[in-house]
Amino acid sequence: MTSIATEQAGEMLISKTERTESQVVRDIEHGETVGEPLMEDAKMSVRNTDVFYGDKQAIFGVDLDIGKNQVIAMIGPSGCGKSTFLRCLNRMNDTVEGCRVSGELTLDGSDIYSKKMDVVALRARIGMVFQKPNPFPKSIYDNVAYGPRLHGLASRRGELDEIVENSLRRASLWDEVKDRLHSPGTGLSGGQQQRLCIARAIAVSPEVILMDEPCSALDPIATARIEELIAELRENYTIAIVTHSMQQAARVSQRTAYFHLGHLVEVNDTEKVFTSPEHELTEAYITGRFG
Amino acid sequence: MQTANLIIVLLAMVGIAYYMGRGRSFALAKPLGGIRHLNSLPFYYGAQTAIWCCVPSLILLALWALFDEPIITNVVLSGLPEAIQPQTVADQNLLLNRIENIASGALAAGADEQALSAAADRLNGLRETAQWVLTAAILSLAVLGGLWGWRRVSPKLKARNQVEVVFKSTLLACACIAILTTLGIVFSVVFETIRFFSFDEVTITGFIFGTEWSPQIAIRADQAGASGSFGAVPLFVGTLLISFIAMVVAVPVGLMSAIYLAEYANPRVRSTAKPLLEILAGIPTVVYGFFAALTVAPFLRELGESMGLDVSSESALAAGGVMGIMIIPFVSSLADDVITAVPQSMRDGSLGLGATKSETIKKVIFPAALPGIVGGVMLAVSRAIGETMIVVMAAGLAANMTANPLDTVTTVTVQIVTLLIGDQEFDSPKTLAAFALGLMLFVVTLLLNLFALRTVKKYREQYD
Repeated sequence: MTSIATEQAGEMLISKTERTESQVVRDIEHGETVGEPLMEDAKMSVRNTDVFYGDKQAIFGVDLDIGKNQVIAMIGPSGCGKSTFLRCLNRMNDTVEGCRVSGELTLDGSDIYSKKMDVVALRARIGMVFQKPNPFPKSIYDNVAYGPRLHGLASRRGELDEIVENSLRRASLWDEVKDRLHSPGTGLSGGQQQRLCIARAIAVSPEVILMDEPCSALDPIATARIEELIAELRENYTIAIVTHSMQQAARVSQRTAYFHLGHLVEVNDTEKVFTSPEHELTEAYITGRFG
Repeated sequence: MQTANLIIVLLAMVGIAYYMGRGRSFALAKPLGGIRHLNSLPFYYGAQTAIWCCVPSLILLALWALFDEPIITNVVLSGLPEAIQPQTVADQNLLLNRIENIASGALAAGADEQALSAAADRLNGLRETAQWVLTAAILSLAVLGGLWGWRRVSPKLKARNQVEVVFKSTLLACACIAILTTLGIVFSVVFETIRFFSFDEVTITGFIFGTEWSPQIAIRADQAGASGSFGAVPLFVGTLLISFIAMVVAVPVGLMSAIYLAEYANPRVRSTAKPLLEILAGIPTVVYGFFAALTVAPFLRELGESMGLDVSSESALAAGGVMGIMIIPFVSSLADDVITAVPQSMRDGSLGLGATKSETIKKVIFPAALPGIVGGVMLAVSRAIGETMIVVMAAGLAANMTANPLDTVTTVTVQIVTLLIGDQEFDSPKTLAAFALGLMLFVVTLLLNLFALRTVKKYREQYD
């Protein structure tokens, strides 16, 4: 653990609780995750997971279950490892040089990191929406049809049209773009682009959707639409969302996980986390004392 | 004083002027309480003084160099006696040459040429005087300019702004030199081309659409020679054939190595392989030329013979193939740059949808980088069309109009070289044809470059 980050966190706490720095460090490093990280009938489960970038450890022994048709929000100060953790769930960290993941991560009981697991198939089952909208420089139609074409989901043109229309409807973008499906996706507004990326992700019918701060580049109105969309998508998909906005976490999620310096500090029902946090670090963060 | 020495002295004076101007600004600043009470930093006062010292004298020097010779020769010529005054321009040049030679001592004046040796003496005398006057004028102008600049130094003088203006004008002048040179070259080629088309043997349509190229014509009235025909089509066909072969080699190899380097190679391999690949671009084309002529061409010929093919010893294939190798770094380096410039978020987006690396490259990265890649390829094509040395050595001289890569062909650049090598008359269509070919080549490559630049510009609009 880098000492500077620990010190900063320590200082902030000392100002409130008058404890020594070493106590806080021990507290984070040896403390069990408080709340209810595990659950019955989980869609994905993560056990004892460490992540390293080269020699630097970014995630320390995380245990967490992600429930089916639920939205789980991951919050925490910058650099706490929440995005890193999210990218482990569909092995996007494989593309990062020197990144190592250990522990047991499963999707419906099968090990994500086993040699038998086909990364391509895995990523088709676990879709991802990124922080910055990243539509391909292709038409709106081709953006959405990209995944289905890749995985051969449609054998006829008509089927593909149907998939595209359904995906755009689910992403509540259809009405805005139905007359210009063949104009470039990069010509849309930021919020529309992000909804296009969501449509692109759901076009391959994933089971889980990972969202890495999907609204951080959007204005409040576009953000509100994405949040509505997340609430609708929950009926069919399991969603894990990383966010910097605690209000957003409170609005869209059923469970909330608080990360601090690579440790999973607290997991609980969202309402509980925001009304009566069990861990003092969580409380300090959600009451705005740092982060 | 010699002009070179004069410039050295002038430089020394400029240095002194700089330090004097700077010193004066310090001295003026002291009673005011430091240099922050000056309008500009002392450097600018020094530079301002130095500019006053050197710019006017340099302008004088340039003007002098322009008008010195014509005035002196005019004076010398008008001093000649009526009897030997030249009548035509050619006579005048001849006479001047002779006086010049006598003056420099290369020739002795004949016994009956008193007037000429007097003129030669006069020339020498005038030149010497002119040089002294020049030295005196330049040095005094430099001193006066420096003093003026020095006197102007005051806390209120906006030296910074003035130096900036001079700096900007210098940059502008440099830009103008490049542009004017290009214009000059174009115009000289255009005028020679106009002269070429003014001959009876050639017509513009015959040149552009003619299919027979044999520029050998009788250069003396009594010489038995071919009448010559100037149809440029076989040359352009040859050029295009060789360029096409070169691109067939260079584009796939260059692109694939670029994709490997940009997408697959780990950073260590990339940092060694890329410079190594770019060394290919550093090999002189003449080396490629003898590689093509002495190694590749005989090899292809033997290979062809063993398969029962008739391969000429100087084949388009050999020249084009080697040219392609030469162009690989062009394509790969430019393609590598544009592929690396495709944002990582595009890759993430595609990989996140379950695409493999090669699918991502094929369907997202390549299309996104395509305009840039096309730009790079077009630049490489211009390079291939303009390439001379390899084809001179390996492609041959026979102006065959053929699409068979095993045949010998010739290119525009090869013909320009052969037309202009050796002693040539500059009023025969044979020689002037080189300029017409050059102009046409220039237009073709210019169009290609414009196309390439437009594509690159389009690419720039694609992201942010």
